[in-house]
Amino acid sequence: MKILKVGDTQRAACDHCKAFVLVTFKLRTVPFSDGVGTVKNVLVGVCEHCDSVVVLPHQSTPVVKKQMDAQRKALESRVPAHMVDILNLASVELSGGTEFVPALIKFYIHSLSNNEISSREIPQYLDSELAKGRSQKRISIKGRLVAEEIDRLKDITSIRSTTDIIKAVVLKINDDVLVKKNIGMIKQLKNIVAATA
Amino acid sequence: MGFNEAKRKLIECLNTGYVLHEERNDVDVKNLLAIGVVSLEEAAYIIGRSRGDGYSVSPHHFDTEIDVHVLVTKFSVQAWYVKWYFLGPDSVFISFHQ
Repeated sequence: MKILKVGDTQRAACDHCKAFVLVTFKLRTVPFSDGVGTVKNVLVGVCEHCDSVVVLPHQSTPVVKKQMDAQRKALESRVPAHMVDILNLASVELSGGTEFVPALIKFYIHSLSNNEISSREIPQYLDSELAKGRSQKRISIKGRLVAEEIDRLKDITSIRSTTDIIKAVVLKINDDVLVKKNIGMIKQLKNIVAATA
Repeated sequence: MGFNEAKRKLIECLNTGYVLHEERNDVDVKNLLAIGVVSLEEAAYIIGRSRGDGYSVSPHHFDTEIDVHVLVTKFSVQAWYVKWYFLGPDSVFISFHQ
């Protein structure tokens, strides 16, 4: 394996300068190209002319992977068993089958955190009878935006615990899909089911 | 440099770790080799199984003396798009994605 040290130099293509330039290897904090998170203190080649990061030596790959995995790991919450039943029933109601459950939760987290669905009632769900019960089942949600959106939803609702956010979201789904049978929402969700089937 | 020579040299770079990834002021999450989703060994295996029918080469926009190689190949039902150039002893990957 070729190992570069801080301060080493070599030639590389700089997209900003539109030329092959001299780069110096330095430790930098570099964002991911999809805008989700950064890699901290990673060795990269920096253009001597414009200071852009232009090259990543392969020796930096384990650092990139470790930090990326840590920032995008699955969110897991333990919830009362009936919450999983609600999600399964709602998914079946939407003709999606139980495999639609992760997408259903992520849709709500995304819409609530972006104020596309009002989150005003969300804290009230935690006072309801259905919010109670021993946490015996696990809900796991994976996605590059989920952690960020849950943090945003925590700020909006002043709910501090991730598990409480998940519980409240499940009860909101229950309210919309199974109790009130919100026609507009059900139609929107059925369209998503059709698009992802 | 034809396909066979480019393939041989690329596998040699992958086997010896003379590998860099081109970036544009961020870490390209689509480059699966750069983010560690694909290892050097896996990349060498994918390239090793490729044939020349999905290969093309063109001069680099910034320096016409440098050839940019593109390989589109199928491996394990996945299509792979690989784009790279050689710079001294290194292979510099522009893309390694599905």
